Amino acid sequence: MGVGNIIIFRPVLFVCGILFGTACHSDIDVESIEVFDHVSRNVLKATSSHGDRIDHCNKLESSNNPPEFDPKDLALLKVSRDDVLAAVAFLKFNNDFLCQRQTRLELAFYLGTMAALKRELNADPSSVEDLQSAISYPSSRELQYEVNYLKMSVPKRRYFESVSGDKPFDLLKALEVNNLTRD
Amino acid sequence: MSCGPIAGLKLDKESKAALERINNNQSLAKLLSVGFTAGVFHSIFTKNKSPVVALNITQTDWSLYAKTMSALPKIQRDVIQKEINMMIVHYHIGKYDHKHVQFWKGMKHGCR
Repeated sequence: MGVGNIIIFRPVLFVCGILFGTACHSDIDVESIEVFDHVSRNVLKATSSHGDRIDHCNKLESSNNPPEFDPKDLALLKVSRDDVLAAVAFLKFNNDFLCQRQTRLELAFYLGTMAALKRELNADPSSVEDLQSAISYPSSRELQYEVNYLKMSVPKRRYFESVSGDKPFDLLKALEVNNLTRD
Repeated sequence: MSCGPIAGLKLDKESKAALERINNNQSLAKLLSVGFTAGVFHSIFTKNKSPVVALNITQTDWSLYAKTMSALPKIQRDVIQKEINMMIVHYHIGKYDHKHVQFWKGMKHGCR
């Protein structure tokens, strides 16, 4: 039995379809394959960990009460309805991010590493970059909510953050309990 | 949550763009899923033209593959949920749009 007749199954083969295209490995030297193998394994592990973390965060969201801001406190701080909306908008996405932060950043890092390797080997990194962008980064709208929130005074933000905590919460429930819906 | 009928809803530019992004994300997840699996079959059945004597596939490899495959729908759902939440917030901020809010609430929970 020759070595050539044995297929060594490596994680890189799992991801070559999406990361390399059909010409997987054909023009890549052995050292590069080992490097891709290593990075691919990390991409797979990070994907799996991120999936687990999403499950965990969803459970936290279901069990966590939505932040309920006291009208007396809001009046004292001269907070408008738009301020409360801006706070709920930002804190919803920020708390989700805080919960997923570690695994999301790890996945972004390994996808970024894979994209960089592809560029180095003159392969098209766009599929990896699209994936990285969809999974890992905030949208411009999300960033706008952050900018709006940061325009509020420090005492207001401190109040909102003290009530909201840092755990994920249900957006619709938060809108309801704070009378922000108009149904 | 049951969803009532929404009469005369005309999706605006923002909603159409969000639906387009959701659609793209679904394609992306399908691509990923197919790509992961295609890699396996490509390597086993097409890459090696010589007669296959032995496949050295470890349990750890399969386990990692299975875990990754099961993680993909969760990640996809999370990205879509985020997009939907974003639209719900959008139609609450500024000029409130009841029909659009109802539409995106239905998208969030599904109409069961």
